[in-house]
Amino acid sequence: MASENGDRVELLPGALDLIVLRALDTMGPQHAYGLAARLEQVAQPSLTLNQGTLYPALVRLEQKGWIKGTWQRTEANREAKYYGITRAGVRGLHKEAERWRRLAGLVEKLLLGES
Amino acid sequence: MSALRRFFLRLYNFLRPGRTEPDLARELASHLALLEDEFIRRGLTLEEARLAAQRTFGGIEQTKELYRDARSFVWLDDARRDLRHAVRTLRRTPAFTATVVLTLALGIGANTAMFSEISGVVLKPLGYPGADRIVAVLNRWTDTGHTQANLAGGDEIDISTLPGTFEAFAYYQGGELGVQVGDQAELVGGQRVHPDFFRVFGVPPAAGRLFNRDDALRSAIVSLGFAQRHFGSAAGALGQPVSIGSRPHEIVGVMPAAMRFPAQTEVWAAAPVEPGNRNRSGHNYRAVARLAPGVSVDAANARLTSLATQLARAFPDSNKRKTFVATALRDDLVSRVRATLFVMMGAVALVLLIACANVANLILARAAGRSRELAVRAALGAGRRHVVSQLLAESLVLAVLAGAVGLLLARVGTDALLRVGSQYVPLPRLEDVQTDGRVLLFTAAVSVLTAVAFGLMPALRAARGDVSEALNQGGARGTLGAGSARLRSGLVVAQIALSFMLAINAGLLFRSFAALTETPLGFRTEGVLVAYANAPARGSIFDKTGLDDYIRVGQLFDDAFARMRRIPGVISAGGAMGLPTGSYDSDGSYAVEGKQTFGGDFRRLPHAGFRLASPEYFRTMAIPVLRGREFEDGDLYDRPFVAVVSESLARQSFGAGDPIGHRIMCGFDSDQWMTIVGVVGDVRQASPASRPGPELYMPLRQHPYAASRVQMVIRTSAPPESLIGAVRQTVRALGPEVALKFTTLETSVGDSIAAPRFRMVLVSTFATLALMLAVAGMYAVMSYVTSQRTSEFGLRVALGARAGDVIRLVLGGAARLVAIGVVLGLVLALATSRIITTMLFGITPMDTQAYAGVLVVALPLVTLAALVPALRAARVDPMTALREP
Repeated sequence: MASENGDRVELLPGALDLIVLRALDTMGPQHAYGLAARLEQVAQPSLTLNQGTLYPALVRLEQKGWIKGTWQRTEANREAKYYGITRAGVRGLHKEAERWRRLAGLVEKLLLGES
Repeated sequence: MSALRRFFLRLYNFLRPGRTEPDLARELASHLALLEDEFIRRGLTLEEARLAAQRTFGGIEQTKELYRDARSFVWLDDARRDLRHAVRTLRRTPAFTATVVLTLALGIGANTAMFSEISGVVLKPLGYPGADRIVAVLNRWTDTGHTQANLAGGDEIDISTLPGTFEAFAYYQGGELGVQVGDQAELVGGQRVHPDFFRVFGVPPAAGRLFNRDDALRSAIVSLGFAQRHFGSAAGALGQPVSIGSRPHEIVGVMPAAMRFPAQTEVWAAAPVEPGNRNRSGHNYRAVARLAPGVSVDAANARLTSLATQLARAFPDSNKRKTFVATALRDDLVSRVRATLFVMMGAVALVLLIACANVANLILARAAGRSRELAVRAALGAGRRHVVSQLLAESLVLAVLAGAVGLLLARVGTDALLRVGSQYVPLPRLEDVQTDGRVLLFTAAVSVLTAVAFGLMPALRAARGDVSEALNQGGARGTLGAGSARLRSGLVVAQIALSFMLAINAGLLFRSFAALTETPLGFRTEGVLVAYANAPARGSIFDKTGLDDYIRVGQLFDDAFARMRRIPGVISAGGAMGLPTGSYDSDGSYAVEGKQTFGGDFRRLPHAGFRLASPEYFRTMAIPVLRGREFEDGDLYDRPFVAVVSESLARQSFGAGDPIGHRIMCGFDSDQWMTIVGVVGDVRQASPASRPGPELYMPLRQHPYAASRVQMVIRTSAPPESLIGAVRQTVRALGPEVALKFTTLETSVGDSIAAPRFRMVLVSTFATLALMLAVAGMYAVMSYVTSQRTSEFGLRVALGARAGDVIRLVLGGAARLVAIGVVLGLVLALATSRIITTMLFGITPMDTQAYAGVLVVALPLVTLAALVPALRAARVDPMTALREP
C-alpha cells in the first residue's frame, strides 16, 4: 500500500502515519496545514516535504478509524477540517510506536552487521 | 476488524467517488488559504503568497490522485507492480526459473495430454443427437455373469418388438465385407445392418437417403471416405453398383464422417428386417437401439429382464440362464479401455505430484536464501500481505509460463500418444481426441492450483517468520532454520516414495509384458505371410442354397494354395478360418459319440473353439501333429467327415486314451459325426495372454458355407512382405473377385498384445520421468544441506577429518532419506499394485523380480544423486569455509 511514487517523500512507509498520530495525540485536533507546519518545525532541516503528501496518510488513518475529521473555523475565521485522534487511534499509536522502535532497532543492528 | 472496516470504507468510496471529491476540493482550498494567510503575514503580496502557497503544497492534482489511490482500490496497480517485480526477479535467476518451468511443464503437459485422451474417449458424449438414449443391447448369462455382445436371432426379434421401449432397434452383423467396385475387389470394414440402423443414430446422410424396409440385400450406404475414394464425391457414388458378397447392391446413400459406428465401417449393407438365423442358441447378432422418449435405461432394462424371464420359461433349453441388458452405447464402447486410461491418469497425476514436490523444494530453497531479503523488506515496512503477494506473484508467473509450455508439450504429447496409441490399441473414438477447451480449463486449474500449492507454503513461512528471528537466526547465512530442512527432506522422501511406487508398478507391467512375449504360443510366428481372403459366394447356409457356388469357392482356394506353394521363396501354404490372433473366432459345445448326445441343454456339453483348416495348415503354422495325421486333399465335402482335435480337447474328453477313431459332433454348421483323425498341439488362440484351450479343427472343404472367407498362411524363406505381390497375382488370376488384405503373423500376434505393450510403455515412461525428478530433488536438497553445513565441514577438515569422512557423512544423510522413501514406496506399491492385478500376465503383484529390479536400478541412482554435493563438500577448503561470514 505504501506509495513508492517518485515524489520527494523520503520518509519510510509507515513513518508519516506514525508522526501524524503522534502530533495529534500531543497537540490535540489539528488541520492539515497545522500538521504540516508542525512537521516542518520539528524536522527541519532534515526533511523537506510537500504538504500535499500528508493527505494519503490522513485518508489511511481516517479509514482505520484512528482519526476523525470535522469542519471547524480557525481563529482567523477560515474554515478548515480539523483532525482529532480517536480512542482506537491512541491504542494504535502505542502499538505502532512499539513496533517501529523494534524495527528501527533491527535495522540499526542490521546496518551495523553489514559494515 | 479494522481491516474489514477499511475494506468497506474503501468499497464505499470506490462505488461513490462523487461524494468525497467536493469534500477533498474544499479541504485543499482551505489548506491553500491557510498557507496564503501565512505568507501574507510574512509580508508577501497576495500574488506572491498564492504562488508560494502552491509551491509549498506541491502538485494539487498529484495530491488528489494520491488521495484517491489511498481511498480506494489499488490492487490493480499493486498487482502490476508485483508481477513486474516477479518477472525481473525470475529473470535474474534463469537456471532456477527454467528448471521450475520445465519441471512443472512436464507434469502439466503429461496430465493435459492424458486428460485429452480421457476426455475425448470417456467423458465426451458420442456426438450423435440425443446420444444418451442410444444403447447397446447385450446378452448376459445369469449363471456366470458373463456378458457378450452377440444376441441370438430369435431373441433379437422378440426384443425388437418389446412394445413402447425403443424408438428404433437395429441388429447388425459383420466386421469385414468383400466389396467389389468395377473389377476391383476390396476387403473393407463393413456391416450388414437392419434398415432402421441409421435411425438409431439420428445422423442424416451426406447425400442420398437412409434405408427403408425393402432395401434388404439390394442397397448399400457407404462412408464419405469410400465414396470419395471410388467415385470422387458423395453425389458421384449415388446409384453406383457395388458387389457385396457376390450380390449386386446399389449405393443409395453416403454417410458423413460423423457416422462412425461401428468403428472403421465403410460400407453398410441393408439386411432383412428379420435376421437369417432365427434360433435361440446361435448368438450371431449385435444390436443397438434408440430408447423411446421418456424411457430410461433402467426402465428398458426392467422390460428386458421380464422378457428374458418369459423366454426362459417358454424355451428353457436355450434361454434358461439368459437375460438381456441395455447399456449406454458410450459406456459399452469405452468399458474396455476405461481401466487402462484411468491407470494412466493415475500415473501422470503422480508425476505431476512429484513435479510439484520438486518445485516446492526448489522454491523453499530459494526462499531460505532470500529470507534475509524478505526480512529486510519487512523491516522497511512491507506488510505481511505484501510479502505473501510478492511471492505469490512469482509463483503465478512461473505457473503461467509452465502452463503455456505445458500446453505446448501437451499438444505434442497428445499427438504422439495418439500416433503411438493407434498403432498399439484400437482405442474407440480416437478421432474425438483433441486438445479442447475443457482440457485448457483443466490445465489452467492444474497450473493455478500448483502455483498456490507451491507458492503459498514458502510465502506463508516467510511472512509468518518473525522478522527479528529471521534476521538474528539467519544471521549471516540466511536460512529458515531446522523446520525448513525437515520439510525439504520430507518432500524428497515423498518424491522417492512416489516414484518408487510408480517404478515398481512399471516393473510389474514390464515383467508381465516380457512374460507375454516369451510365452510359447504353440505355433511359430516368424516368416509367415497372412492374407485375409474373402470370396463372394451366392446362397445361404440357413436355407441351404448355393452349395455348388460355395464348393466352387473352396476349390478356388485349394487351387490358390497349390499355386502358391510353387512360388519361389514359399515353403508351405495353407489356410484357416479362425487363425490365432486373427479377426475371426467361433466356439461352442460338442459331443463325443458314446459319451454325450448332441442337443437338449447345451450347457451340460463340453466346450471347444471351432476352427477350419486346409491341408498343410498345421505344417505352415508349425503346430505339431502329435498323433494321426493332418487334413489331406481328399477330405472333401462328399467324403467321410473328419476332425482334428487339440491336445487339451483330447485330455478333456479322452483323458489318457487315444481319441483317434472316435467320432465327434459339434454345433458349428452341420449335425454330422466326424471321425477324429489327428491330435495337434495346443495354441494360444486369442492372444499370448489367453490360455491354451480345447480346439476342434475341421477341414475347410467339408464346411463350405463357412469357408468363403479364409485366412491364408504362407510360410516363406524370404521376408514375408516381399511375397505380397506374387500372392496377390496368384489369387487374382484364379478369381479377380476375391478381396484380399495382407498382414504377417508376427504383426497379428504383436497387435494382440498391443494394449499391455501400450500400458507398459506409458507407465515406464512416466516412472522414468518420476525417478528423474526424484533424482533431481535429491540432488537439490543435498546440495542445499551441504552448502548450509560448509563451515561445519570446514571445521571437521581443519580438525583432521579426511575427505572420505565428509563424503560418508553426506551420503549417510542421503541414504537415510532414501531408506525412508524406499520403504514407504514399497508399502505404497504393495497397496497400489492390486489395481493392476487384472492387467498382469504370468506374474503376481508381489513379483519379487520386479521389486528387486527396480531397487537395483533406482537405489544407486537416487543415492548417487547425493554424491556430487558430497564430493563438493569434501573439497571444501577449511580456511575459506571458516572465513565465510
